Amino acid sequence: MLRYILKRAISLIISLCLASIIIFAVVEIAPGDPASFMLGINAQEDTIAALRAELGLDQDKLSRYFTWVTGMIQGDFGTSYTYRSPVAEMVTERIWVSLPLALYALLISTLIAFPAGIYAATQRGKSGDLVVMGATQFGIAIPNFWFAMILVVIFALKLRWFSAGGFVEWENGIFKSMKSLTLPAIALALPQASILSRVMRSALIETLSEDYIRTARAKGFGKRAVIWRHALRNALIPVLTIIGLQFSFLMAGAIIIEQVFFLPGLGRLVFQAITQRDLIVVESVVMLLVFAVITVNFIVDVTYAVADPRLRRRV
Amino acid sequence: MRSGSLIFGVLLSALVVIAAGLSFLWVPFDITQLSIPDKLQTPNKLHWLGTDHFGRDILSMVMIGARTSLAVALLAVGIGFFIGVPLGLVAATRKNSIIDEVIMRTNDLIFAFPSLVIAILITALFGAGAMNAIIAIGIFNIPVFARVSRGAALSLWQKEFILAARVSGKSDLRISAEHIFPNIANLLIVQGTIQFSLGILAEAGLSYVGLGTQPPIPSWGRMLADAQTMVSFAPHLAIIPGTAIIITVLGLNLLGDGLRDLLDPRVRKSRE
Amino acid sequence: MSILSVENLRLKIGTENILGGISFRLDQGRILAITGESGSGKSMTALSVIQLQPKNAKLEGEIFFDDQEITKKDEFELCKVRGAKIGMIFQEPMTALNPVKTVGDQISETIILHSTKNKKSADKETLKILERVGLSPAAEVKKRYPHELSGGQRQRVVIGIAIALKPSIIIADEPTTALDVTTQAQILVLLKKLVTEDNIAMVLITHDLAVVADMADEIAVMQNGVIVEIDETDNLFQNMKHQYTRSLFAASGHSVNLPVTEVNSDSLLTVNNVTCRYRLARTKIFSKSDYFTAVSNVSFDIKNGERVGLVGESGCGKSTLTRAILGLEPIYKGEINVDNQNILKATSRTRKNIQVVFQDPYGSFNPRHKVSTLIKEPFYLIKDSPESKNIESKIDKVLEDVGLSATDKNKYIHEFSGGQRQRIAIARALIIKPKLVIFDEAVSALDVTVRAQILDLIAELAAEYGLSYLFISHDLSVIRSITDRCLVMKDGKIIEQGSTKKILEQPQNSYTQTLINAAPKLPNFQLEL
Repeated sequence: MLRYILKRAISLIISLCLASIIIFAVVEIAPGDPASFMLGINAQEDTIAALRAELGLDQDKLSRYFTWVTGMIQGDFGTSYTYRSPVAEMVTERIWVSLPLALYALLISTLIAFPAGIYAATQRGKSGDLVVMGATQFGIAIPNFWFAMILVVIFALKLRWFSAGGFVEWENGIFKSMKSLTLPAIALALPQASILSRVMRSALIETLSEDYIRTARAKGFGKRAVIWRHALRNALIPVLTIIGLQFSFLMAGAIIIEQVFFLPGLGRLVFQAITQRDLIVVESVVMLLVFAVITVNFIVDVTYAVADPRLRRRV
Repeated sequence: MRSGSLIFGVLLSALVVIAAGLSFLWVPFDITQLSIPDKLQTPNKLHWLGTDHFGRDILSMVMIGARTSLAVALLAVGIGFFIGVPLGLVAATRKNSIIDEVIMRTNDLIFAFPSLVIAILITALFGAGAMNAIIAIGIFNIPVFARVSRGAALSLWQKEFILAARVSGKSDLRISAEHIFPNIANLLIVQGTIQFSLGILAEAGLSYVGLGTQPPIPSWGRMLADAQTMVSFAPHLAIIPGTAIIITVLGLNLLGDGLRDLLDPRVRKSRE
Repeated sequence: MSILSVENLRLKIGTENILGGISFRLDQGRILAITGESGSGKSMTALSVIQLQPKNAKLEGEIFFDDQEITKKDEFELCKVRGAKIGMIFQEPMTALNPVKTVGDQISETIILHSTKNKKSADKETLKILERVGLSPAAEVKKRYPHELSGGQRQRVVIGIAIALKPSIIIADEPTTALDVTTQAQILVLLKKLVTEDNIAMVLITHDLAVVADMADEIAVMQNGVIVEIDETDNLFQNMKHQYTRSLFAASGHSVNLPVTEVNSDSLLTVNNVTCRYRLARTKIFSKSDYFTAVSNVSFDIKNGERVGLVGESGCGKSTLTRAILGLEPIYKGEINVDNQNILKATSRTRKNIQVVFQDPYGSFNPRHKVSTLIKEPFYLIKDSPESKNIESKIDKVLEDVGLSATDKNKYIHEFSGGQRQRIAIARALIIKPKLVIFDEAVSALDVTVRAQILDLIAELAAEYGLSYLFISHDLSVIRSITDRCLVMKDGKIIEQGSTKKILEQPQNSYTQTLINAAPKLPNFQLEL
């Protein structure tokens, strides 16, 4: 078990190193110099050069890369070109919007998907299954930003239950903040819930066709009891993978939803930074997101090992 | 239900493809002509789906938008397919070798990147536009196809008919082309449809934030972005392109599901 | 008083009749064997008795268990009967247990489900059961997960679950088919002991007639969903009334008429001190890799015209050795020569002399190709030589040689039965006239009557084509009937070799002796065909 975790941990570190190189390289080879972009087209050569020196852009690539990476390890993400403030500070500020939003959406998605998927699996081929599966087909096909717009029209503009956008800071009370995240979370959760219920359904159906389910039935377990006592835990393994992937998607993929609702989250930060050529912010935030994805997948892998004894003792 | 999803899928996909194809020959109105007096009409006899804020016919724009969406998504699938499948097949022939490790770990790495953020990064840094959108979406299709084809190929390599072919002195490359690829083609077609529909959604998302197809070429995502400020008084501006996206994605997904059931002998057998 | 009585049981799936009126009775403490070839409906009969037949199956007729009509019971009442009063043992021990629960929990949950016992006393009971089925130390085994046990041990756990509540009946569906012959013998002894001790009635479903003869008080022979003959075991062997029963037993005891062949002194295949090994997953990250030696220092040769058998249980290394001989496996030490050329460096002209027939009649062919394309594939080895002219007529000839017709070449493989597919596999091996054919468990997946036909065909064609062959099998009766000389393999080594007759009659090695004693044998019986 420890060995397994150690092995996964090493591959996690290698992945992170490679990811940092790729991100740095992509940003490097991209056309457009941040300094000239910031100063506009009419800037003088020497002003640009001065700014480049100030931003540290005149150093060679390798030393810039190492400065960046070692900084990040120490929690120093550099200083934003445009805002002239530490990136770490900006990120911490934003993460308190993005992280709750992702968790909120994941919660909604799981709460919908688990019952829906289990119900559909038990009703396989019957009308209940058809209705749930039909609904999930729509859920997957609806673009979430469009769904967000429709939600705004109905619940914010017509019914006036929610505000059309913006974020109420946490200081104003948890309830108010959560309320301002509710519509975005629903918009984000809908396609995820659809995908997750389909995965839940097919994993459960697959498990229910296993031989050991037949053994359990022969022991005298009823159809329901078999699902709770034998099938569900085995079916959870693929479902866990998807939840892991979805979490990372929700952290990063909220980028467009944050645009729709004017939420000051990480996605919006990176979007603005890209358009302003604030490359250090882009690099750092993308790296942070990749870090989140890889770490979540690592946690999922370890959870697997706990859920599945075959992996637990394997070397 | 099974054959039902195939029929629905074919019908919806055909509708979109025909609309896109027809737009090359004919659209109801010329969308390069702006006609402000006709702006923001709701659907009526002349303009079946109404007009936008420049008075352009929405039906015509949706038809041309279909063309854009399909082309971008199809080319992105093509990139994934033509790069990913050979990589997956090679990885499978050399299971657990260095080359397999490199291919698969690179795949894992690409998977770890938040696709939408990277797509936005690429399109923003290298310039917004259809071409870069295709590349950005296509890159993330590569590991998908590589993984699917490697997984399926690995189980085939265990089969005795592959051993028989090896006894007949055929090279791994030849066996991959002659025996492995034809036997995983079904699977790849199904995966292709799914990636195709994801591509449509991704293209719409990129265009919506202004990084996909650039005006004046109409695209569904762009239309939705334009509609956002007017959605309270002209909801049809948002509803129509949104519905177009839903029909396309729904059609492709149903088609994929239907094809899988039709082509998978396991499912086919259980139906009998 | 019969504990189980089945009256005119009919079962339909869709429009297909699976069971066409089955009737039998079973008394307390007796063993009824239901036997027959695949597709005869014997497993479906077993599943129907505990009402676990497939959902889309339509069942008619009556099943009385303990004087209660089972088919009329609702799900709730059935659950009280299953596991408690009727125990069930399935074929595949590898998949019959839940991989994420300990075996102790899987036994104790049955006890808790059907009694008022709490977890603690159920656990105590579980320990006793594990001891009873021969798994000790029970306290240790209890905490294991299924993947940590061998196939035989898992089957013991499944048996433990079945007998946990001292049921009146056990239904055992091919309980030893997936096991090695030595393990099979132990499991059969255990089963017999348990049913005798607890006075349990048992329905034993098996295709293996020797097992049937060994175990059953009464035998029912099934064909196409009906019982064609049912009788006390002794009576049945003395007087088989139905033609099908006779042909079944005849095929099972079939001895192949091996034509006399000339063996010359030229070595066709020489295996010289061959060792093959696999790298195991590393136990520590920075430790050296460990290796598993699948084949260890094996040497033997096959001369022109020889018919050699290779026998061994699963995991003995015979598959690795087979693949090494075919040049499909890296060889760690030693060398394998075909026609005096190293197989790994051999030219395709030499490689053409060695062909193979695999076990699985379904996995051996690319489903997308026509038969003609399938069987001419070996010509690829000699694609530029004059021998690969007139391929079409060679295809026709070889198809007819293996007992099919030339017109079959335009069909696809799914249009053929298992036996026909093995004929096609033989055609593919023979078409380029090799000198040596490797038969890798080539009849193991076939029913007895088809198996007898294929064995006859192999013997006949080998003489006609002047072939040598290496026949790999786990089944001693097959080795006995088709080879002159045989090798016994265990743990990667050849532990005994010599003439087949001598080895089977006077085995020297103790393992060979165990192997031969463990194989169930048909009693002597008279056949009037």
